[in-house]
Amino acid sequence: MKFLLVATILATCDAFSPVAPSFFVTSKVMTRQTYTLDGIEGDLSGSPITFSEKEGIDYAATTVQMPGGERVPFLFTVKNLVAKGNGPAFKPGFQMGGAFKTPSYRTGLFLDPKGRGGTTGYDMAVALPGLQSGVNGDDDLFLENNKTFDITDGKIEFEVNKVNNEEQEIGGVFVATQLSDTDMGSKVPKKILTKGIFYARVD
Amino acid sequence: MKLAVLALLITAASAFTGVAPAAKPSTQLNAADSRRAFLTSAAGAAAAVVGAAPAFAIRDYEGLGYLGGGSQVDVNNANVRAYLKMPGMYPAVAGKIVSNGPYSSVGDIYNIAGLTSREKDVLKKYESKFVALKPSADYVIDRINNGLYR
Repeated sequence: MKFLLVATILATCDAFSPVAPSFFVTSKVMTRQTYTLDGIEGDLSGSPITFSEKEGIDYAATTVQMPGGERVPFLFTVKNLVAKGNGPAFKPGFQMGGAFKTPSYRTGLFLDPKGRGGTTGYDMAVALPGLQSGVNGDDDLFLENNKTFDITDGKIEFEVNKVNNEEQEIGGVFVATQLSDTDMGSKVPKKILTKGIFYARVD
Repeated sequence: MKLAVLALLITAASAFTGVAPAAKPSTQLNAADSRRAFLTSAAGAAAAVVGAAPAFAIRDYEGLGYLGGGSQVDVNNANVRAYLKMPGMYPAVAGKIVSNGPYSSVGDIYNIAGLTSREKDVLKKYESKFVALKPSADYVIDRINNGLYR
């Protein structure tokens, strides 16, 4: 089954703010052409219908800007999605949903402005030699020195609105939540709510 | 302030496991404590609560020699270009190894779907050069294209 997802609304919220944990703010997309995931292929199985995503352009590095100017990068993705449906056949009103994994926005070879990285680069702030010893040490920089490859979870729900039986196509809407970039473990991620339309063809 | 950020990160780690953040680790400010001691003790408390301790970065990856630089290649973590040294492997057979899931042992690579008998012969020829180490997520994601073009 081939999938195409287009996100039409992107909203962010402070996932771990103690004040308003689920308050989403509509944000502007800063990166062009990155709100579509195309060519996603996967296996469809039995009843109830279950879709397991295998490959395709299933990730897009996107940045949105919140009101106030703060930019939130995130990896818009559906990697490793297993979506279970609520019935044995596609028809208008059919819903399916499941969880997916969001890998780290930066991969291991990325170097930050101080040359520190995950699988390569330094593990300390080389430009601050005085912090490598002494009473204070570089514990203040621990979150930036300690690069971790954070894989977080996301959830997506699809609803089919239209079915074309001759061409074996379905179309509908989706809502997804995932976390934003954690900057390899140094910042608290925000929750991203994505709403959009999807199209799929079964073959 | 910095300790509060760490507490947020630890509850973020616990939220990753899908459990609602229950007990936040206490943020008693003690000027003599170093941040790392706070992290390990709070990690112990968080691990006791939700079983997800924040991870430390790996400074010396043990499987580094098996990523293509040595004589043996790690089938779980090496980039596809590590198989260039073995004539007959690149690109088809190496592409199949790299596109398919983690292998618990070297013998698992023969179970890849769609292997022809010629490809199995090539794999047999180089079987002694393969090793199957623990897959590490930051290397697994870069198995097809790791951004190094040489």
